[in-house]
Amino acid sequence: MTPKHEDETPLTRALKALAEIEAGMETPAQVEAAVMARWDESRRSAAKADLPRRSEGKAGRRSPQTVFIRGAATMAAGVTILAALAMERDWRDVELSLPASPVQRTVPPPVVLPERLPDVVVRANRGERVTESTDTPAVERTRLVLIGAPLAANEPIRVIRMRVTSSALGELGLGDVTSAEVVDIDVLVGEDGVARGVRMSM
Amino acid sequence: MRDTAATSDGDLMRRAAEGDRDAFAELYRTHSAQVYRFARLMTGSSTIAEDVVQEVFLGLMRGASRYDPSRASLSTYLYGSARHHTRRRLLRDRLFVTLDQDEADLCLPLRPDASDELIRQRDVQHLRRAILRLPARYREVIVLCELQDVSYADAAKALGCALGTVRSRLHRARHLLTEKMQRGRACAEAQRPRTLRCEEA
Repeated sequence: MTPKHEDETPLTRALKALAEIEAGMETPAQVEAAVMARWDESRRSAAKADLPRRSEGKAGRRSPQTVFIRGAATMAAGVTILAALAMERDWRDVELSLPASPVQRTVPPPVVLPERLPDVVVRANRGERVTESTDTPAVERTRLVLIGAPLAANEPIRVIRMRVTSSALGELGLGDVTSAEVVDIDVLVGEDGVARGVRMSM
Repeated sequence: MRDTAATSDGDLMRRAAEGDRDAFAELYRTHSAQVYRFARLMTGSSTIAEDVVQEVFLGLMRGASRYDPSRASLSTYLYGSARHHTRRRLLRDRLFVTLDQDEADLCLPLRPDASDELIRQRDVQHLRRAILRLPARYREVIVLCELQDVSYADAAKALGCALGTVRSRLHRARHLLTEKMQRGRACAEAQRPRTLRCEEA
């Protein structure tokens, strides 16, 4: 504790000396000039802002005839505005009373699979990744690749036809099936919006 | 004395709010120096202090009607405003230690014939540096209570804190100042032999 008191004495002395020095400091004169210039400027702008109000005060002493005409004009304008608003409201009512037509669905209805799934799907559900359809070989040969969860019986699905590059098919295990640059594929999308499989023509 | 000053300030403020130029000029002449000193000690820069004085009095000009004499004296109100503008300026400029810029401006005129004066001046220089290196919350209480002679109660109002907080900050600030000054003196002592050798050479 003793050294602390010894140290505080020079501090107190220095503080007093600094306070004495600072007590003699005055704000430079140019600062006062700047502040007072801003004061004058603000008063001038305030006086300008007051000017229109004063002129209005003089004009306030109008003849009774002028006051009547002004009042009548104001009332007429008010009535016109109210009438316009009322008419607009009526029009809105008419618009609202129109029979609401059902929203036209642009999305085609979901495709519902038959109760008995094609053999291709059944085999694919068993775990076979790629299944060749053999049901209608004479008409069209397709290849179905299942991705994600297997299709359930009676699960409504949507078929989305897409045109993709053949390089994109490589990721689905169908890279070597065609030499065409662009291929049309059908993506089978489940009710939850998740793709279940991809079908493509051979 | 204080009540008379407060009444006088209140009257001047009322007149200034009504647009009396002389009343505002009187307020400026009475209080500008305290704002200037406070800002100068807080920032270590006369230029910034001048800007702060302008900002404080411009704020007073715009909000003269908002001042409520029953809440605090005008001095306290101005200190609060000066503190706000100083802090904002310091934050904006990131200029927490500015002594080197205006060091010549802040120095006393040298009188080589008086060794006591030299020692005093050296201590004051060390003190200035130490104050500028204090955290802002400690610097404020030192400047207000020790250098501007503001009462603890008024300082608490100006700083927006409790009286006990002012006391504890002041205690801590003095402790930090003592440490910093000791360090400054030690550095000066360490540099002295090198200076002598230079002079001998």
